Amino acid sequence: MNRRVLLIGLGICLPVLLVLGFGFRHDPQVVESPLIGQPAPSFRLADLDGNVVDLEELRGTPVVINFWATYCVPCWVEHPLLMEGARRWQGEIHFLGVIFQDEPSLIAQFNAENGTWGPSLIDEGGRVAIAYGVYGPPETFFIDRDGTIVDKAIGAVSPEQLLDVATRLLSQPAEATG
Amino acid sequence: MRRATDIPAAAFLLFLAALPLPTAARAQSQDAGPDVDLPAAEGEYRPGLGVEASRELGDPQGEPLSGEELDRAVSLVAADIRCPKCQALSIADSGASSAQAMRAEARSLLASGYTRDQVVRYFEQRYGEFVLLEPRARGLNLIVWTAPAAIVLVGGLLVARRLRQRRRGGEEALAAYLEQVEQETAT
Repeated sequence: MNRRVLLIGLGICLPVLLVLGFGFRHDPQVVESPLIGQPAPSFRLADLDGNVVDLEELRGTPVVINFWATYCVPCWVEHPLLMEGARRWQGEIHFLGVIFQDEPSLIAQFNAENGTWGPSLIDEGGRVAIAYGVYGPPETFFIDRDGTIVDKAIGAVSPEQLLDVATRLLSQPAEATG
Repeated sequence: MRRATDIPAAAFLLFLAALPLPTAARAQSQDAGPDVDLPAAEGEYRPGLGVEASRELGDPQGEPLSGEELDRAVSLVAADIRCPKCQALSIADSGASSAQAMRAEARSLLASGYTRDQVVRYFEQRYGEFVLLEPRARGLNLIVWTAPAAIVLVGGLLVARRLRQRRRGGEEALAAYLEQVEQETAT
């Protein structure tokens, strides 16, 4: 084969292959959150019973914030796991649910039928979801004792991820928090 | 018969097709959810609850807007922000609940005196650069901005070169033919 044609072909095809290789190695459905490693946006939200939860007041204890809705099938899938997590790390990790564009009455009905793993907080206007850059439910944010977001799960959180992140969160010494 | 010079042209077309365009949407397969009525109207929230965007943004660097001026500013910002649940739609063009909430947030911030740049930056800090309908011209994004011009330039050079070769080849063939005719007629 003509050497020049070969070189030209390689010069053109290699960048294409690089672009495709880069694309195929990344899940197009996953957009990296710029909030990982950043302070978790503070919020005050009321749950279904009117009790107000202030994230700032939970500082010093790891927090798991799950944005969910009853119309979201993966949310049903991860519900038993979150129930188990909240039971297992009761008093060690706070589990908070933030309702993502759903009717509080439907949430209450779901909770009554399936049990709850934490307060279901009403996010009026979806402002907290915006502050956390939530694309759609379920998304779960893991916050350490210092109030820093250390990890995020998109879609139903897996048992492995929950265990891994919870272990990391709990391994952070309490006295090191500011 | 396919010529060797057709190979670069075909490869260029393939390269062009593989390039990510600035407005190309990355698919979001998360549950779109129903269109539910948001409890708060645009720009109106229950005091004391929710999130204080001002804590993330710092002090407003502009003048509080209202009326038609506010409407125009909201439209401008909304046209730049991608709806997180849609395919290449701005929050100005989408009727999704998320887009509705983001427009309301933009309105609230602009009414509080935050500038257009501050508001766009706020969304970018939350969702990442993906939320910008036009990615910033920096880093790897420069490929997206410069590749079309580079492809046209290189393609043009290849075509020009090919035409020149063809013309030169034609002239040489004609000269050889004339020489042959001259030799044959001379004998």
